[in-house]
Amino acid sequence: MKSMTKILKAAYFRAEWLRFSRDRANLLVLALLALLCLGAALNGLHGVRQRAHAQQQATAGTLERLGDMQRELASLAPDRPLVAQGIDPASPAKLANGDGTFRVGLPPAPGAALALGTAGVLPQSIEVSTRSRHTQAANQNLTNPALASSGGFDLAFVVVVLLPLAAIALAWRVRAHDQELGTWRLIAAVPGATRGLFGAALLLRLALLCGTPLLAGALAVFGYAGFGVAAWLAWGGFALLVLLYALLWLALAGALNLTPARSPSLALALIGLWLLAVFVLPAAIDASAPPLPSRLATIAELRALDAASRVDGEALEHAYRASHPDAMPGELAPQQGDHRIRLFSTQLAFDMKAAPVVARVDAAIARENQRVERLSWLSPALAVQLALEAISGSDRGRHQDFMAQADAYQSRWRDYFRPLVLSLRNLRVADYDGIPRFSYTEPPTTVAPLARAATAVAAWLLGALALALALALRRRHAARRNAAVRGALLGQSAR
Amino acid sequence: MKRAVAIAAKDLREAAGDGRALLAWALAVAVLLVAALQGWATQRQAEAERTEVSARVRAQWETQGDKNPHAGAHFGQYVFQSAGLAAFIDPGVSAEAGRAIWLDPHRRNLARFKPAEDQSPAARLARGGVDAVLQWVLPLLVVLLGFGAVAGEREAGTWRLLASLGVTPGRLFAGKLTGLGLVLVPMLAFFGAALALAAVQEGAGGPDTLARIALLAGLYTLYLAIFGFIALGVSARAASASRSLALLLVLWGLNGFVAPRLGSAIAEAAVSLPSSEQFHAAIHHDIQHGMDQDGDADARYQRFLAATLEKYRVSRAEDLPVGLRGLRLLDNDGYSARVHEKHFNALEDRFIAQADWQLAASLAGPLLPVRTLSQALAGTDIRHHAHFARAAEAYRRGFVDATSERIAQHNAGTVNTALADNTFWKSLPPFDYQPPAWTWALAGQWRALALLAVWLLGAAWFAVSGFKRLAREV
Repeated sequence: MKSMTKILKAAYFRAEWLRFSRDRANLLVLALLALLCLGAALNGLHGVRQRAHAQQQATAGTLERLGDMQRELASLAPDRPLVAQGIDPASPAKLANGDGTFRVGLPPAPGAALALGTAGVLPQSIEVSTRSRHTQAANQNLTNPALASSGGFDLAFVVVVLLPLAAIALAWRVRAHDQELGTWRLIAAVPGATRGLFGAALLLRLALLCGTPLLAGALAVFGYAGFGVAAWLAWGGFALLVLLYALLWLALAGALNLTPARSPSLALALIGLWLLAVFVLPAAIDASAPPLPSRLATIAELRALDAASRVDGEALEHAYRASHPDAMPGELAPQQGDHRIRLFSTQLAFDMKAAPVVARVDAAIARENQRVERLSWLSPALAVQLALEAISGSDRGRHQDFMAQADAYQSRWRDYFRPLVLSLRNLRVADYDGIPRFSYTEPPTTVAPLARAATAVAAWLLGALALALALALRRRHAARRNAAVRGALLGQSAR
Repeated sequence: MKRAVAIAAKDLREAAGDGRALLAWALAVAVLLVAALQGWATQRQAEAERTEVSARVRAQWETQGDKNPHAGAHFGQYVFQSAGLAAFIDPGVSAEAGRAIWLDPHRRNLARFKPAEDQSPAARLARGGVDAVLQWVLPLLVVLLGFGAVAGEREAGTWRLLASLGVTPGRLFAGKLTGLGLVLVPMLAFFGAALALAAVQEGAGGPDTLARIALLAGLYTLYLAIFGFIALGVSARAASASRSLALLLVLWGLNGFVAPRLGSAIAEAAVSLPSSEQFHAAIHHDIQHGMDQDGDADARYQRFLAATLEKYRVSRAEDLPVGLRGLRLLDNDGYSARVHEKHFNALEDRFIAQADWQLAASLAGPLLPVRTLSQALAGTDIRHHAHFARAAEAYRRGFVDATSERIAQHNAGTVNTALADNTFWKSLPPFDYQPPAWTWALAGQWRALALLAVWLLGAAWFAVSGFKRLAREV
């Protein structure tokens, strides 16, 4: 407690601030970090607003189209023939088949502007129709591959990749420099000043390092989501991660500064640790993954099912008619063999067969993601990245949840239209009111990603502390030995 | 010259004696070797899989049995982009561009099955491969070997000693540059092995692949030369080796990590893309309501019907000597293809404009122009993917129109009962894609070439002028 008070003495902070601010390189690093944070926050904000706008447009467009078609149907004679081209509001088969391009979307979460995550690669909206979503080429993001291959410029990137570099740049020779200049002995001459100044130097750097990312995070979160509880929770999680992660890198720099190594060696060691945490360990975790089922082989498998689905569809249609004798009272007599019925049944048969094939691939991907999550404690960079994606709602888990809800919705869509299509009757105005509506339900909030990130940081921090302790003990032991040797030599000379 | 060689030899001896430098060099060589072997194995496996699946889906197409030709067209075909041998050196945008395009009537599809969609977060964070080693690791090695080249001599006081022995800054520069040339050895050995592989492997692409790999070797030599010049220039100006190292690491980080992502942000701000929903809705709108003054789908159909009846000099569709359904499909698909061409061309233009804008971040380092040229030479940039997509679209129109023509020729009036059999499916030729030559790959890259030249000349000037200042320190 006493030593903590010494460390927190204001005079140490003033002195350290003077030393810190006189080095233009430090200010340059802070200015660069601030610029990058601001740029990443604005870029994230712009991207998420665009995404939200596109989603709103798509959802509103779907509802508007359905409304227009319902109004158009109301104005038409009920017994007129269906039109040959385009959308006919009275045709249940055409409506169900997605002629109206109906879409359901995954809305951006309050913290979405913090991390692009999977939002840049996985589809954020799905076309709903009686066709299988597995054959819909429209169900994918429209991104420029040239830019996507570079990765997104978001706050997660700045925090995970660049913040450690800034920490290293500010603290790589926080003590070694004084030792090399010979001023450390001068500081050491003041009782308690070594610990006090060293602690103040690290705490000052922690505050300066975290300042701009936290402000930029606030801009990204509150700029998009307002000041609701969810937004505060997202920002709180982000702030906690930034503090922990910055603390880790400063602690590592501080621990290494306790060694007698010269500053170039310290810089290399810190860069080595950075490469290890940010690239080598994640790459090793990825390289150790079992191979995923081949997507190309899946294509061939799905096509084989597609070829067989016509026969399967007819069987499905007969089975449905047998089990639902009253489900199709329609004005028109059921006509087996009609191409609309055949198409609907074929699509349904294909999707029923295709779903397990696609689910097998999805399950393998999910298992791989769980494996990466389990191992993420090895690399604090990876753990923090995963936690930031979870906070921003751009993690794979939330996307999988969306896809499951979209699939369930598509089943409801099909179930609603199936008797209408099979009965071959025209739609009535009231039928439009019964069309199922989609609304995404957020999964329950979990703190598991935050806990994993905290564990990873704590594991590395413990490592840094153990290193610092070992080095301090070694230093103390060496000092005692030197004192003993000096004493012995002095004793000898006195004799 | 002898003195320059002596300086280089002394630097090499020092590097060999310095555990850190030796370790860094050994690690870089090991990483390049592992990445090359893994990349080569992955590429071979991917190619074998592509060939096998292509044959399977073609067989499925050819044996789909008796059915209406249009139903057969809807069964569709998948085409897969082949990766040339040079692609294992730089896979470029392959993970993000999609590996397969589904071809079916009425619509042009975007490439699907992007490997990036299946990647774990670990893969997104840490991208491995030969390209990563060439673009990030080897420049880091240059930095580690070069930061103390002059600053170290100055700190140790050996520069004055060398000058007193008659070593001029020019000779020192030549010696230091030769010493840094050591980094090129593993890289050039790697490219030599790739060239040998391309020469002996059957179907590897012939002279075009050899030219692409040789040019890639030249490109990365220039890239490392730029880093060598920068390292020497900074070292010659820095007050201490520590400061030199810090500055070079900042430049390395800006070049490798900040510039590409910052470039993406600039490009997205400069040129916006429609969302997937907007893109498909616009196509749907144009087909339903017509482009310009073409009229909506129903009006276009009425026009088509009237023109067809007039052409065949009949008054009723039932009296047509050909199948109306086939002609209508040809007309519809022709219009749909025009709409798709308009929107896809506009999208492609925006992709390329964004890629050009991304180069604006080249101010932070030479990586972006180098990466652009590298992907172009490896045949894995967006222009190559667009070339493949256009060829696939031409093929799609060809086989879909052939099925519609079959309906028109084998039916009459409004009857649509004639079926096609396996003989017909087999008669439609398979997709045979010819990738463009390396000259085409470089033709549209004048911006990247100019930026590379600017960086090379600028870095060389920076290094030479830094060494000239040394003369004043004696």
